[in-house]
Amino acid sequence: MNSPVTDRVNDHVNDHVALRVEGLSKSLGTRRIVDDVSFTLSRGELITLVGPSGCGKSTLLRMIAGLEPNDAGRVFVDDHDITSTPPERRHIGVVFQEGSLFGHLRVDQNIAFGLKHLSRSDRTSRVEAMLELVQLSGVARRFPHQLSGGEQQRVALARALAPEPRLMLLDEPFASLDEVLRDDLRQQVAEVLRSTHTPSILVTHDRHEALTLGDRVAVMRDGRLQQVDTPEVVYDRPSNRFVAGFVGVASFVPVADGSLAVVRPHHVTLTAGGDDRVVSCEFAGATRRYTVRRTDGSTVVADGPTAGGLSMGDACTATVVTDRLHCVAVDD
Amino acid sequence: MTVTLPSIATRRSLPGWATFVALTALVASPVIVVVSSIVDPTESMWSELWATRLPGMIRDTITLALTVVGGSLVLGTGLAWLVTAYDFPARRVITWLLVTPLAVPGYVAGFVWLDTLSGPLGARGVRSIWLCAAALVVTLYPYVFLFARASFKAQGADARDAARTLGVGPTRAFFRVALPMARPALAAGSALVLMEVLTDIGTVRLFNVSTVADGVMRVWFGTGDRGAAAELACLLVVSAATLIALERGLRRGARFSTRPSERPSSPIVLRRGTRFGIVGLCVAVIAVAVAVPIVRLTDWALDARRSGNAQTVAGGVWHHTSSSLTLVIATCVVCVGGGITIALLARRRGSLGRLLSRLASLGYAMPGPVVAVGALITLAAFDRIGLVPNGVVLVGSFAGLVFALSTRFMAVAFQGIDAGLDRVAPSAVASARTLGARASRVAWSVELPAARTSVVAATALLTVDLMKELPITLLLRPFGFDSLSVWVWQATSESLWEQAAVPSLVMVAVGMLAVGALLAALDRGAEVAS
Repeated sequence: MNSPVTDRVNDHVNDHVALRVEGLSKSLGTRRIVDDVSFTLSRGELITLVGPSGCGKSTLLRMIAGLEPNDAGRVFVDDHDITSTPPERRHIGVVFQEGSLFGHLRVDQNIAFGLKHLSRSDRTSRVEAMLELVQLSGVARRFPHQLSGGEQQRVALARALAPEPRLMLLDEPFASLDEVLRDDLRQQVAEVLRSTHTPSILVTHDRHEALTLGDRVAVMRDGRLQQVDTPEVVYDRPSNRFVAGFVGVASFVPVADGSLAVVRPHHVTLTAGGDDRVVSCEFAGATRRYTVRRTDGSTVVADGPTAGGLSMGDACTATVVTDRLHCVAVDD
Repeated sequence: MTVTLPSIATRRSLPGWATFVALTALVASPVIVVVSSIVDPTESMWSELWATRLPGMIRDTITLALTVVGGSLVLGTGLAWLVTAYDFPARRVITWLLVTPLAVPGYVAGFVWLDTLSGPLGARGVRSIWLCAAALVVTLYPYVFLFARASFKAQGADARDAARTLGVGPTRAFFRVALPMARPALAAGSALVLMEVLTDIGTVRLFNVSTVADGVMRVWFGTGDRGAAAELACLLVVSAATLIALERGLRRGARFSTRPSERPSSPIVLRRGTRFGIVGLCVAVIAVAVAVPIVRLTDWALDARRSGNAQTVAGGVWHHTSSSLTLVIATCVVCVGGGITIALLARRRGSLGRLLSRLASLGYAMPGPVVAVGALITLAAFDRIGLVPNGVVLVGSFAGLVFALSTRFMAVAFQGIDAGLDRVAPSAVASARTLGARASRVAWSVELPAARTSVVAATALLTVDLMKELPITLLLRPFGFDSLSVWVWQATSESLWEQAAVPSLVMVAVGMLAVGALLAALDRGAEVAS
C-alpha cells in the first residue's frame, strides 16, 4: 500500500518549518522499522504521532533526536541539515517514558543539568522559572524517587525545556501513569508546550490522547506514515481502512463502487423491530453501544439511549445513509 | 479510598522463630565475641605494641587499603565500562577472562611476580608495599568489575540518552551520569576489596608488609594470647565499619537505581584503531594477572616432575586437593543451606527479620583473622559447656573449621539468594497461597526455583573465595589437615616457589571453573530479571 501522505499545513512555507524529515528509513536485519518517512513540523505546532506498539514511532523519534543512526534520509531543523550531528549538539529536548531522571541528583540539579553554559545566577533563576512553569516549586530539593510518577514526568519536561530546545520530542510520557493522573497531566503538558511556543512531537499509542492533544495527528503503521492531518480530517476522512479503524470506532459497509464506507456510530440510526439483530450491547454511561448484524451480512456499531433500549438478540433496523459517507479502499 | 494490603499473613510459628534466632546467634557469635573483648583491654600488650610496631602497622594497613581499593576502583570500573559501552572483537570471551583473576590468589600472583621480577628481569627492591598493592589490585579488581558491569548494564540507555539530549557528550555522560549512578555498586565492590585487603596475610607476608592482620597472626603464633589477638583484631573491625559508614553517610538521601530501563544500552561500535587499543589493554591486564602466573607455575611444575620427585608431588596433590575440596563442599553446603533458611525466614518476619539477617551477615564484613579469633573463643566456650556430648571437642576439629568459615561466608550465600528471592513477584506468592499451598510449599515450589540461578552464583562465588581462603584455615585447621592454600603458604614462607607451583595451579584451575559458572549464572539471572 503506497498512499501518498497528505501534509496540508504550511508545507511550502519554509520560514514556518521547525523540523523537516525527508525519507527517513531504518532497517533491522530484513525488517524495515521505519520506512521512508517524510513530514514537516511547523513552529509552535504540536504533532501527535500515534500507532500500534512496535510500529516504529519510538525509533522515528530517536532518529530525530540523534540517538539512533538512520540508514537513509535526512533531518533538517530550522533548515539546517543535522542528519550527522551527535545528539548533544542538536538542541532537541526529549522526554522519555519514565525513569530517565538522574536518581543521584536532586530535582533542581536535574533541571540544571543541561544549563552548564549559563552563569550560576542565570542557572538558578532559570531552574526556578521552569519549576514554576510545571507547578513544582515546592519540590526543588527532593530526590526523584521521593516524587510521584506524574511529578517525575513534569520534572523531566522541565529539564528538557530548560535549555530552550529548538523542538521537543516526547516518547509516551504518560504511558506509565494511571488514567486520572494522565488526563490532568496531558492537558498541563500541552499548555506548557504551547505557552513556550516549542514545536513538539508527542508519541502515543492512545488514540484519544492523539486526537485531543495534537494540532495535527500523524498515524503510523509498520514503519510507514499513513496520514498526517488535523484530528478532524483524520477522523472524518481517514486515508485508508487502517487509519479509520485506529483513530475511532468504525464499521465498514460496502458501497456501489466497490469501496468501503466508513461508518461511525453516530451515522447509524437504530429503531426497534425489523430484520436486523442486536448481537451485543454494552453500557457506556449516557449511551448504550450496540453491535448489530444486518441482513446483508455486514456488522455496524451504533449508539442508543441507555433507558428503554434494546437488548441482546432483539430485532431491530439499523439505517445507514451511505451516500454522504467517506469511503476507503477495500484492500489493506 | 485506598486500602493498604498487608503482607501475606503467616503464622509466626515458634519453631520458625527458634530456628531463625538460633541460626543468627550462632553465625554472629564470633563477631560479637571479638567486639566485646575491647571492653577489657590488655593494657600491657597495647602499651608495648603502641611503643613498637603498632604505628607502622596502622600506617601500612591504611596505605595498602587505600592504594588497593583506589586501584581496583579505577581498573574494575574502567574495564567494566569498556566491555559494556563499546563493541569490539571477542567481547564475551574477554569479559569472562577479565573475571578470571579472581581465581588467582594474591599470594600466588605475588610470588610469581617476585620471582619473575627478581629472577629473569633482575629487578631490585621488589619486596615493596607498592608491588604488594599491585599484586592485590590485579587479583581483586574483578569484585569491582562484576558489580560495576551489572550496574552499567542495569542502568540501560534512558538516563545516558537523556544526558546526551541535554548537550553532554558520551565521555562526559559517563562521568556525570553513569558513574554517579553506579556508586552504590562501586561501593559494594570496593567494600569487598577492602575486606580482602584487611584479611590478607599471604600476600603481605611475601612482600614484608606488616599490616594489622599480619600483626594478629604474629601475636597469635608468637604469644598464643588469644585475648590480645582479639583486641588487635578489633582495630580492623572498627576501621572497616568506619569506612563503610562514611560512604553510606555521604550518599545521604539519593537513590541511584531508578527503575531498570526497558531499552538496554546498545554498545558503541568503534573505529579500528580504538578497538584494538581496548582489546590490547584488556589482554595486557589478563596477561599480567593470569597468563604470566599460569605459564610460570606450569614451568615450575614441569621442573619438579623432571627432577624426579613427581611421585611425592602427585601424592601430595591428591591429598591436598581432596582436603581442599572436602572443606569447600562442606562449607558451601552449610553456607547455602543456612543462607536459604535465613533468607526465607527473614522475609516473612518484617523489620525484626531484616535486622536479624543483617546481624547474620556481619561476619562477611569482618577480616578473616578476626573471625578466626572469635570463632576459636566461641568454640572453646561451646566445648566448656559441653554443647556436643560424648566429649567431642570442637576446637581444632573439622566441624569447628567449617563453623568458622561459615560464620564469615554465609553472608555471601544469604545476600545472593535474598536478591534472587526479591525477583519473585509478591503476586506469585499470593497466587500460590490462594491455590492452597502452605508457606513451606510456596518456598519449595515457587520461591526457591526462582532463586535457582542465585544459588548457583552464590555457590560459585563461595568456591572461589574458599579455595584461596587462608587465615581462618591456617589458624583453625585440625592437626594434620592441609589444604592447598596452606601448602602454598608454607612453601612460599620458605621461598620454595617450585613446591608451591602445583597446588597453586590446582587452585587456579578450580577457581577458573567456578568463575565461569559464576558469570554464566549472573548473566542468566540478569536475563530472568528483565
